[in-house]
Amino acid sequence: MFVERSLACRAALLMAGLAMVTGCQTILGPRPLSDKWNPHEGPRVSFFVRPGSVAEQNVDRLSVVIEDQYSSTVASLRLSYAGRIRGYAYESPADAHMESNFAGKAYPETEAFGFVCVGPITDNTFSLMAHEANHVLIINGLGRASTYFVTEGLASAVLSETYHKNGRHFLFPWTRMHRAELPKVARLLDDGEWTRVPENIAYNTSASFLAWLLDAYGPDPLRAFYPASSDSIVGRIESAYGRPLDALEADWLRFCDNYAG
Amino acid sequence: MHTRLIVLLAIAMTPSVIRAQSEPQIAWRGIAGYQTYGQRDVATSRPPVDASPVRWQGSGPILTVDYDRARPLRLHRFELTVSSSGGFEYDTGRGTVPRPEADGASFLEGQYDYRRYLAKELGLSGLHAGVGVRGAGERRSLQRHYGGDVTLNETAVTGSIAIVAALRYRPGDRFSAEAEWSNAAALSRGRQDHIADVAMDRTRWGGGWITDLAARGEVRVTPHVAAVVFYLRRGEGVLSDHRTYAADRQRVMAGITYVR
Repeated sequence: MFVERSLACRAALLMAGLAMVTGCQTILGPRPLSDKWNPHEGPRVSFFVRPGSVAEQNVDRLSVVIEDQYSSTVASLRLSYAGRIRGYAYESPADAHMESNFAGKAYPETEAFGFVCVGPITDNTFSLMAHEANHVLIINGLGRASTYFVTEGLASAVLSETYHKNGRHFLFPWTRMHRAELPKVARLLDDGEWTRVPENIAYNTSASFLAWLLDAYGPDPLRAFYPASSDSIVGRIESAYGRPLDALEADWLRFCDNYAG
Repeated sequence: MHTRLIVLLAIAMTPSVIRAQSEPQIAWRGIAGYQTYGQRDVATSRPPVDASPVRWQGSGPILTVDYDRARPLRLHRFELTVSSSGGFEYDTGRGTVPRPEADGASFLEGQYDYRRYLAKELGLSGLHAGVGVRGAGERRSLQRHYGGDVTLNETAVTGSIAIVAALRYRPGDRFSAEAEWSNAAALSRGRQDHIADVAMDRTRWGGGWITDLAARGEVRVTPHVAAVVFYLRRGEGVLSDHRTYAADRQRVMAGITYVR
């Protein structure tokens, strides 16, 4: 009995020790906030850049582009949101714990976004930054969408092209050139299917379709189906536009085929 | 016949120290103090977790009443806690920015603990290891306001089951201290009301975790009354469809224990 209790004591201590090492906070908790930022205040967007980074050297340019995007997104979707947002420019994928030089994340509830900003600053840098900022603006303006199609597509569909041509001038010709690879819109509206489609196809197809809807019909019908989930969104789209989804899709593809820029 | 034999055997095998335990000691405890609450939205929930570089944080009063029914090596504890946080701000990593005064959070929590302590002392008189389970429930309510007259209200009800590891030091009747760690699996049902140009509400189920690290110290000042101090640090996360967040809390509290 004495031996058993001694073993039980050691086993319990071992279990407790293991549990502490592998606690969820240790594994699933976030890293502490970083303080190695230099803040730069803009009219509506504050940038936080690493000291001496490419982003710091180009922060005025980034600021001009993002302020234009802010105005454009609010206007194109008629948002009432007018909060100050914060952009965090990481100097490498490793710095951001992201996968590539072309990666970013948005944090709407805390009105912040982060993106990898490496040299040289190109149109891709601007569109990446604007896409992430759009998530913050759109979700705070309209609430959270319930499909990847709308969440990711709309953030690219409303890209302003004042300082780059990665919006409609990229999306509509891309749609024409990739006609053979495009999945049906109805398939992409299903979140379960969205993740099975190659990422660039899913993102660009949804952005192109939503950009066309916005141009052709304005923001009101889009706002009507915006919150719908996968199981109801086709019906909501057809109700908002008064037409079958297949007919809308055919019109969109025809438009892209004839798009001349 | 067989049942009686099994019962007799079970009694015979029970360690004498447990059989010799005295009548349970009943204690009521009231403690109050200060809690900070912080929350960050999470973009990628798999490790390494990618959380917002900005934390929404506030603080406010907290009050806990608990009821203990304890034997030397066993504890039942029922606990009820209410708290409210205000004075919210964004911590940007480089400073803080105040949020609207109407931003707030309130919490109502209840929990039950069952704990057993090992009879063997851990190299020091009065030092015992303990293990236990905890069932907890919480209702939280958060209010946030954004520029452009946008409001985000959230209510969530969370239930959790935790394993608890504890280390208790009780060298005599006058003083006791206990450190405890717990890790819980949680199930949450939350509703968000987003009010901007149009109102939108969404209800979601989510799963999550709660990790607590807590310490409590008690000094008996009269035969029936003890002074108590308590500290807790909590990390938690909830994952649901299209939304994930991580939160943290810290509590510093003090109060009185009445032992019947």
